[in-house]
Amino acid sequence: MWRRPLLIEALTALGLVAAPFALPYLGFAPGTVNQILVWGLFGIGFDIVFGYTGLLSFGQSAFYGTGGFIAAYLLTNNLMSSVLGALAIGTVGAALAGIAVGAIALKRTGIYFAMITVAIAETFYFAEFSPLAAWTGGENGLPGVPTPTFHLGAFSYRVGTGWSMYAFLAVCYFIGIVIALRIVRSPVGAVFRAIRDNPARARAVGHAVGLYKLTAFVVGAAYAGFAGGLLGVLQGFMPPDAFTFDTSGQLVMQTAIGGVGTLFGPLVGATVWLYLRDFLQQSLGLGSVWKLVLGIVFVLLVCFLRRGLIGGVQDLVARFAVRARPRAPAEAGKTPVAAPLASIGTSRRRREAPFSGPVLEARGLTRAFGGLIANRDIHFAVEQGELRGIIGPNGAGKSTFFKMLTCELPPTSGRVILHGRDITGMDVASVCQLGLTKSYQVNQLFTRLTVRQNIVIAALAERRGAFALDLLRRLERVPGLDVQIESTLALVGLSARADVAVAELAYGEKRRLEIGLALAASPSILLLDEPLAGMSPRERTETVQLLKNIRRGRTLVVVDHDMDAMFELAERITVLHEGTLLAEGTPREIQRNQVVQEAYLGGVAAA
Amino acid sequence: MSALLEVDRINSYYEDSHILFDVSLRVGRSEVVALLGRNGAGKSTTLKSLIGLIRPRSGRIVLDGTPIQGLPAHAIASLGLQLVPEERRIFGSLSVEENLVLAGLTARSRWPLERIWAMFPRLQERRRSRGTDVSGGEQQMLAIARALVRAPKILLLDEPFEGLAPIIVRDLLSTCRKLAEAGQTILLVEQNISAAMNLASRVYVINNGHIVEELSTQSVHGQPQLLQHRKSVTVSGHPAGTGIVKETENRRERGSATGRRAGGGTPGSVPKINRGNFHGRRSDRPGVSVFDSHVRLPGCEQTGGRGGRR
Amino acid sequence: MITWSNLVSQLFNGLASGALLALISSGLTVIYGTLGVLNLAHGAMFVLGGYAGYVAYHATGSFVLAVAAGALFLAVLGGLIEWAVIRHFYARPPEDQLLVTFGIGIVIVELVRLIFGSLSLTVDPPSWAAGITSMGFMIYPTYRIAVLGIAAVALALLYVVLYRTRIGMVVRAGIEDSDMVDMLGINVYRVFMLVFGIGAMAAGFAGIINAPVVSLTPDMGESILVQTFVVVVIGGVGSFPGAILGGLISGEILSLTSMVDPAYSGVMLFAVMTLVLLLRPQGLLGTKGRE
Repeated sequence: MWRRPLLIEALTALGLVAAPFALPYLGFAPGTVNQILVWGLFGIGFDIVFGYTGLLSFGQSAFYGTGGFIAAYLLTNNLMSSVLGALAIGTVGAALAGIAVGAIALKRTGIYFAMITVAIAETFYFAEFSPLAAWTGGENGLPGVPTPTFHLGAFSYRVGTGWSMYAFLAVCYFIGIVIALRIVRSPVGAVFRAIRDNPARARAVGHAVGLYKLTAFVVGAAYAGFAGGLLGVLQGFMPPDAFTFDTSGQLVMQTAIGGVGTLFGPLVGATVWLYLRDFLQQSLGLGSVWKLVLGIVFVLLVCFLRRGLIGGVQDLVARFAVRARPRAPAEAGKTPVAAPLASIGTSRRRREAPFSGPVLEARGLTRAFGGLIANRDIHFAVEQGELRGIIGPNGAGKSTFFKMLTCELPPTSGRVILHGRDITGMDVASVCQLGLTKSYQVNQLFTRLTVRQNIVIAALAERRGAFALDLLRRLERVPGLDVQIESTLALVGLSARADVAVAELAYGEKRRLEIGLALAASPSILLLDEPLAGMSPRERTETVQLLKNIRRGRTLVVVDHDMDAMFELAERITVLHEGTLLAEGTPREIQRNQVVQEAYLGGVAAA
Repeated sequence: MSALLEVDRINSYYEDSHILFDVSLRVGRSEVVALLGRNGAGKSTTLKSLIGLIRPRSGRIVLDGTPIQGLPAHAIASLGLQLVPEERRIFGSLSVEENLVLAGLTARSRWPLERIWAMFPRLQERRRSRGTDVSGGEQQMLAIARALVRAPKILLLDEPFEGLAPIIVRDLLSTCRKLAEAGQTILLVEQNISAAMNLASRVYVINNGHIVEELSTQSVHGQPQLLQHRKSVTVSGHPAGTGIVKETENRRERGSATGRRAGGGTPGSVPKINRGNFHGRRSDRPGVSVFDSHVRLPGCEQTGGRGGRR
Repeated sequence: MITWSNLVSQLFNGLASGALLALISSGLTVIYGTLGVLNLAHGAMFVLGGYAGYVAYHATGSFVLAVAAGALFLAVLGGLIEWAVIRHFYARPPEDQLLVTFGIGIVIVELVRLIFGSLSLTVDPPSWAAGITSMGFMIYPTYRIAVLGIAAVALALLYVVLYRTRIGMVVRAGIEDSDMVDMLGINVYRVFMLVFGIGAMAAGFAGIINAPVVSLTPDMGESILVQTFVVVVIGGVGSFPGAILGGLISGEILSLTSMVDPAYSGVMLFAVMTLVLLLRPQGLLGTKGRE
């Protein structure tokens, strides 16, 4: 990631200005360059949807066509004389279509989602062709789209074709890129990346993932609509094949060829695509074989160069950079320093009136899976500031119980009460926003990000709530974010490793980050699922110390198998057995409890 | 004489979590050997490393003279190792009989169905039922029968008694004893000390991914508290009928050699039966236990019946 | 003008195209169920089957041989593609799998276009199924009845293979838990290769028997692919009975709505798909929670 501000924007501007002088020598006609720009703009939105948020949509043509035809219709029927105005309306129309389509398609993920986008795009195509032919011109499209005219005082300048059009399109592209760069650098952009990496954890740290996905989708639709309008202006006519599956497919291929998740990938991909098309078709006279060649190139890139051409270049550069600079050594597990202040930043939640009852309560919690009763009628309450341990032999139903407490699993009957408020059946993100988070037994990290970027995701939900549309805000400008991040990192002892990628962390460090993610959400009660899992004796000691540090000012509930650690840490222990609550008491009481011993030791009578 | 199975210092990982540390063990021909350990000690990981679902990063595994570490699961199965997984993994889309027929398809030598029915008459009664429509105990029997169809050189049993009612456990124990008496080599993984010692002649204790003890059952027999005094080995309770909740963890778990992604599911989703979703059992996760503890749960005499319940 | 004979004729059309769709979709759904891969090249395989049959037809003059050739060619090609490409993508994210199958589809279609050109080619129906049949109140092209019959037989054959043969048992077990199949000594990769081949064959078979009804063009696979998706969403991904049910429903929807206004049939199909998605997201016969 470039740290220098505005470097990319400056380089882009430079490139766009230089292009008309350099490209003709490489064999590019102005018409081709203009087409490349339109595809590039179309692709910026798609890259935000796919490259940044991880949603592979094969249906962007629906919005491309919608925006284009709305603009073209307004202009060719003299409903609007300002080309820019028509483009704006077309973009808005496409965005609205994005909301409608997204509401349906985003109900599913992955493969289902891709299939739905294909089907929807085809429907738009059918609609254009026949039922709406009166407005869209059916298979003929809408001819006669004018080019924009700019009035500057007494002068007016009408954009022509060729390089004149290029100037207009270049400005549009530049604006598009600048906005896109703002978006990906904003808090919303960070959440997009989190969703791409680990949507479940993004939800669990408090983000309304569904709404963010829809936002990304609408952004993609808006860019598509704008590009579609520009297509009509560029060609002087709005073609129906803007709506075809082919168009969506071409966009996907171009983006993959150029590099997914780079914003400029679609531009590079379009350049390669159109250049090869012109070269193979016209220079070599090979007719339609250019598409076959491109198809093969595409398959090869997907197989071997996964991040496309730009990604390939970035990897090469990174390899040279690594050789030049030795890597910082992995931090030998340092015992985390006891942080003076247990609270991290000032949580937005602390404004609430203090509640004098148990922080978390379960009443009659039961969970059945078909005929299997995993938890039966469990009554459980944790007081403010307590450190509660939950133990139980194998099969006792501990993980089911835990999942019901965090609302990952709805109970079959019974209630879960947080701060006196019934949270049964709520979604995980809302529960997190109310002050309850969990750290997982199997690490749930954002694996493509660095340590700091991981913490940022959790902290953003804490600072901004479940959903905020601050698309153009700079990440650094979120109030209180820095403090939140630095204090969390200090608490889990990862300050020195903040800018290391997750993949390069040692296992113990990853576990600390796992706890850090939960902490950054500023919970008033933190549930820890086997925090000591997979640790060496030394790591175990450090983690126990860490837990002692973080418990100040918080309530902790820990599930684990390590008896020693549990008895050392916990003030009270709850024992689960066969799905019910077997005993509860201080560690000493539990150790002496005959029933508990029998539960752990009971075996088969010698047969 | 060389053992039928020689495991020499294998190290297995789950992603980058080091689970098995230089684990070595031997199983002789016609022996019944038990691997004891608490929840999360690495028992299941050991079996998965033997059968090829997990590829050990170092070490050797030799089966009847043939090195098998790094081979794919189907090759190892063909060479005579058969695992009865702790989740059983019965095919619900197939009938009981089809489950057995499927198992025998590529077996070099095969138990005829009659022999299976003779050993498991209850299964014969339910031969046409769908695999998962039968009771927990019958599913366990089916899982064992399925493995036996392939006439394995070594039968690997992963916590076969877990979650079963005592009377079923008694049944199963007697079946296993019959098999052992007939010469079947068995490697049994268990938390249930008395069941393990009932069957096994030798016992390994695994703790935190390390083999910490090897005992012959003669020396421990009658002194179960010896084991408990030495290591804190928690034993599974004896739930009658509540069974185990086979929940899936999230989709990122990958323990299989085919590298397939486990099917979708967010944390907290309902258990599903589809491809390879069975890696989520908590007992796979390495627990941490007291190595040289003073006893937490004071060693008491093996209680005769089931632990009482308040 | 909706007349009785019109209606029956369209119902029949719906059955015929529905059976065909069901056949193609079952190939797609079995591939997805077993391998976990959505084959975006499925439409291309439909196209390829048609053209392979065409070549065989002109070489031998026998329609039966043409069908056999088309099907066999795709079965082998499918297995090869799985072995050479798809196999290496099982550990990669599903988006990569979509991209690579999409790319393969493009390459196949463009190869066909390169060899045969973009203009449509015709295949004549076999002499024993040519002409029209009088069914009393209406006249119907004989070949279309034949298509219905052939597709039904093919589906029945697929059913028999899946549910009554040992290899089918292996495939069904593989759909459920391929690791366990591996542990039972069965080479799952070979199973995957076989399944991909069967799925491709289903599409290719449909392509050649459909050829006398519509003429062959390299681009005919695109709309088929989309319709297949709709069928699979309606019926339930990974469900063979779902593909049949979804196929028949879709076929009838397309047919009957085109009676009212051909322009709306595509839109109507999508509307039904949306309805299913909103009310029963796993599809009519799909299993819940299966993505």
